[in-house]
Amino acid sequence: MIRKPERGRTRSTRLVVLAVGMGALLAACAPPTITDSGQKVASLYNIVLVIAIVVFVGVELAIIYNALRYRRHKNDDTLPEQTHGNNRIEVVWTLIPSLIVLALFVMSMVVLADVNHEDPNDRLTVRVTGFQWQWKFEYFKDEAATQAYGVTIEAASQTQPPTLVVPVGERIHFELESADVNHSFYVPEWLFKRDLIPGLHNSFDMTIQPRYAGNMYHGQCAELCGDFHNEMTFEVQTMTSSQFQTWIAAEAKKQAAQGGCSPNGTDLKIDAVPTIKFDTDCLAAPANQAFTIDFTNKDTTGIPHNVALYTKDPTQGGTLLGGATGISDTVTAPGSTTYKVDGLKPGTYYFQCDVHTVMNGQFVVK
Amino acid sequence: MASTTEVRPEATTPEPHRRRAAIVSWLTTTDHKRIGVMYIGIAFFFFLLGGLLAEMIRTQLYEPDSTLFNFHRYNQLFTIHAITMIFLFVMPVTVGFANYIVPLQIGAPDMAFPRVNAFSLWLFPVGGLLIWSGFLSPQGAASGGWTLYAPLNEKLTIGSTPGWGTDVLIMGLLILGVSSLLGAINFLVTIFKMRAPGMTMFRMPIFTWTFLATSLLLLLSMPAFTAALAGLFIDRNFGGHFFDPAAGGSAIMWQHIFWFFGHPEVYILILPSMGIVSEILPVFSRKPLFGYRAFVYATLAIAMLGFGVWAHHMFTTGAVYAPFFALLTAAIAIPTGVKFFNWIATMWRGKITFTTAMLFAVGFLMIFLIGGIDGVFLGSPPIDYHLQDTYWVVSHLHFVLFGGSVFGILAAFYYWWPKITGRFLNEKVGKIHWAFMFVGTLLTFFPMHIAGLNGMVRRIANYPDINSFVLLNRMSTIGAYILGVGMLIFVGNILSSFRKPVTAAGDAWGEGNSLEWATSSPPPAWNFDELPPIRSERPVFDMRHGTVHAPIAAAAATTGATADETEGTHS
Amino acid sequence: MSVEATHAAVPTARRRDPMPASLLGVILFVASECVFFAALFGAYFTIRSNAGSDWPPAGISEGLHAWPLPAIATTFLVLSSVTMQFAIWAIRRGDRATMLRFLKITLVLGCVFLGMQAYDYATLGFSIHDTVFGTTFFTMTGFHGAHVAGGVVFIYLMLARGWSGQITREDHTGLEAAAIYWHFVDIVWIGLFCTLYLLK
Repeated sequence: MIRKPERGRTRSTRLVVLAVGMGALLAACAPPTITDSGQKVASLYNIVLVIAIVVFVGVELAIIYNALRYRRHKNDDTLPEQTHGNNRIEVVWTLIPSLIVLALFVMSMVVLADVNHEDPNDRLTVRVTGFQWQWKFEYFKDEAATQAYGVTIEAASQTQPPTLVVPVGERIHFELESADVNHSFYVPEWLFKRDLIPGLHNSFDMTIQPRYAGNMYHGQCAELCGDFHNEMTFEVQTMTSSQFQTWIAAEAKKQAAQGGCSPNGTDLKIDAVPTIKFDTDCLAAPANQAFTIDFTNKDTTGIPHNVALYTKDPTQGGTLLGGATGISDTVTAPGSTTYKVDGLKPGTYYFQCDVHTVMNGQFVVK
Repeated sequence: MASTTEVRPEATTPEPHRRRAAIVSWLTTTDHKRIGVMYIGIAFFFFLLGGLLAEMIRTQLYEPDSTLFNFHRYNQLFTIHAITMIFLFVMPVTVGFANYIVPLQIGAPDMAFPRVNAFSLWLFPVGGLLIWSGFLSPQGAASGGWTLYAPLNEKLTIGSTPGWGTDVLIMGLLILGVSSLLGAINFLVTIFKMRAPGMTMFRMPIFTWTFLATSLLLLLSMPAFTAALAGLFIDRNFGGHFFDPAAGGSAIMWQHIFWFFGHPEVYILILPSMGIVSEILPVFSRKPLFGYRAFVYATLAIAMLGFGVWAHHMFTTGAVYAPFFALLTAAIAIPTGVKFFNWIATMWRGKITFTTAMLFAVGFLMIFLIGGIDGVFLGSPPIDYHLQDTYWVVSHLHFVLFGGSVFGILAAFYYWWPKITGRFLNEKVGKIHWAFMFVGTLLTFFPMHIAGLNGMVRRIANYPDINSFVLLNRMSTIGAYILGVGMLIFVGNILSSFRKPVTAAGDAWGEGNSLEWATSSPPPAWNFDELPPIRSERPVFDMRHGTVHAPIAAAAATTGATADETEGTHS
Repeated sequence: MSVEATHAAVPTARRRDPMPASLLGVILFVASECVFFAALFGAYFTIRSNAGSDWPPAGISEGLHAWPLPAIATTFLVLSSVTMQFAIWAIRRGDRATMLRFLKITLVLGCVFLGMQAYDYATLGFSIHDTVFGTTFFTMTGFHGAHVAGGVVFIYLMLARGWSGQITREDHTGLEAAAIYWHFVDIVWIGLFCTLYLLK
């Protein structure tokens, strides 16, 4: 009679444990993926997961069973049988894990060959450049990256990540380059990442499955690369092949009209980065419209910089157009400011940091 | 059995004089036991500091866009947290226990080079304080990750770690490297040359065996790290170009040399805990360790394989031959599996007493298993491409280093505390402590698997509010607080134990197997008045239950070290 | 202190122990040093293989000559290894006078090597921050030089013990250890000389 509620409690405990276990299991399944090779990785992952769960449950049960079953009773002073070992069983439990890991290794190698496969034929190529702390994507028609589409995608600002536009259903080749420190190009839904290491050439191929056209995905740098590592993100937009062709043609035309300058517009953004550098050497703005320049000094702590616009290099007689008012008007890292500039006539001007005149670039007004 | 009361000459001198003399005698000691205690004490202090950093990290991550710490400060927190836990807690605390226990277990009066031992000890706090002094630098402590990847951690060319916080970190690590290296040589010579008569290699307790393997790993991997750190220091301060690709250096080379050290380092951190668990399970199961020889061979196999798998940390660089490293990595699962089966078989048909030490040992088995199994996923290169540098890896390494190493170390605290102090830790409080640690560990680190699997990358101060990252991180943070409370309980348990009288018998648990239980608790400065005969790997057990009775004179222990090479009577 | 007294009793000279604790310690130390220099050589060859044919880089090779100074210094260091071995053989025979003579010659040769290396440094015409070759060159030879200096101190200590009669046929473990270390330093230098001066 007393036992009844106890048994009920055990049952509900069991249910809770079961529910938590099932939840953990579902959450531990391979995450959704949108690429061909990602599907294979996901299958491999799920196979490993099943084996892992069998091993895990088996071993944990063995531990718990032994711990509970062979508890020493009070006042039991007899010694259990002193077993020192058993060669036969030790050989068995060396062989079984050996076979399991060997099987896993073989399966891994098959999938690895597929993931790392690069088609030698010419195909759409994206050159990915990582730098502290953003991405640049350049499009090419061939994998040698010689025939450019004239399309370069960069972030409008640190907090507005760039969008990598890719077609579905076709093999895309990626070339990875780093301009400074190590980065890692990672899109979780591709179940894939590859490092960008200065001085090292990396590349991979990826095919996104057709049914995932028209979606946005989140990508991020996965290798610690300094203070703003966690802001080094990007978006991935998928399109059908025909949409992509339309997009890239329009984008190429637009960028050609802007003289290839980036950033471009009335809300410009420029950063000073380590060491004594601007993150761009070309800015562009529309003619006869007032615009702003958001300047963030991300260089080494304590170094002052500014941004000043001139008709041409002041050492060659250029006069000040706007931005910082002179060498005493600076922002010390870390810090930021916004310069407001009145509309300018069309033409090609010059900008620089008054403190470090090696930091300079073109300012295009159209 | 040996039970001597130490005659203290200071007992008759006046009080303030006596206290100063006591302090001086501790600071100038070359006694391996006092050195061990100081190692443990200083390391535990750093453990609390590192734990504080962990709680700060977890507090930041409770909200996805927390501004509690800025990015730069956050990077310092996780960098110094890792450095502290690895180099200033787990390594020195295991060295401390080994310092105390290994000479006792092999029946030696001290380490082979006692003054070198004292030198190693004092290098440790110097290096530790040097590293922590980085927080005084205007740019703060090192922020480039404990792996110190180049070129991020270069200074003059590119990167973003200009402050001297990184320089003192490098100097501190070089000093700790010298300390570890001298320690490793000392342990190897002690184990090879100072064993008592009858203590053949295959009668050595498993903890001594694992520390032998640990010392070999240190000896042959630490110098590579020293070379890499020296190169990085030269790059940063003398205009060198080792890791500067712009000037012909090689960035990837840092990773190769670092992980050639870094992977054996993982085994340096876990093997001693495996040894501790292998001491505790037989004692409280009242059975010998199942498959002693297999266990020794598995330990040596893990140590050897550890040198051939470094590039599995570098699969995503695309610059390593993945199949080779994947195969060797998979191979490590085999000796580890053998160890697990041996541990379980040791409990099988035993008579198990659940002391807190035993609970932590069983907790080690249950939690370390997760860290072992999720490592198999990472050993498969295509899966690693997805999981590398995500929270899956953070989860994996904490299951290994917290559920594994730290659980083993806590087990050692409960198990050897009566030997070291003569006092028992409170068992009831200990079991509450264990419950907090067990629940806290699972709650903190398991959700990280799911976060990582869904693409949350590591080392980020803020994270996107997608894929239930917020929920998972909050679970982790709450788990971390539970761990924090658990550790406070432990500190209370330790402090209150000092108010108890010294009551522990020589064989404090009444079930001891190895020689440290054959002397008084705490042992006299000279360790043993007499040694039991050593005819198996369990001399104290033999004396308690077996046929051998006649103690041999301790003086003999100091002369012919390896005189008796006859085989053990068992198996 | 009673502790010290017990310690002193530990390494009582066991005459027939072929591997006394201190000798084993030095051998293990040398083993770890091998890994240290292997890492430096590994770094050098990694960088070398990336550099291609421009090696040593322009502006460096002009100052870098194997002959005459480095070659002579190498000869002296190799000779010092030989004299060290003669000292060992002498003491094994129990001939302390010969041992001391050869030990003195070894010490002088070691010092001469260090002097020549210092002169070489001064006349090379490039430094540690001049190209990646300069970095590897000065790091490797610098660490090696520090090891030679350490070895010279080691030999001097042995010499001092020899003068006070502490090195005997029965107990010359320290000298054996010094010899192992000295041969190791010598072998590393041969590797460095071939790599940095001859192969380039």
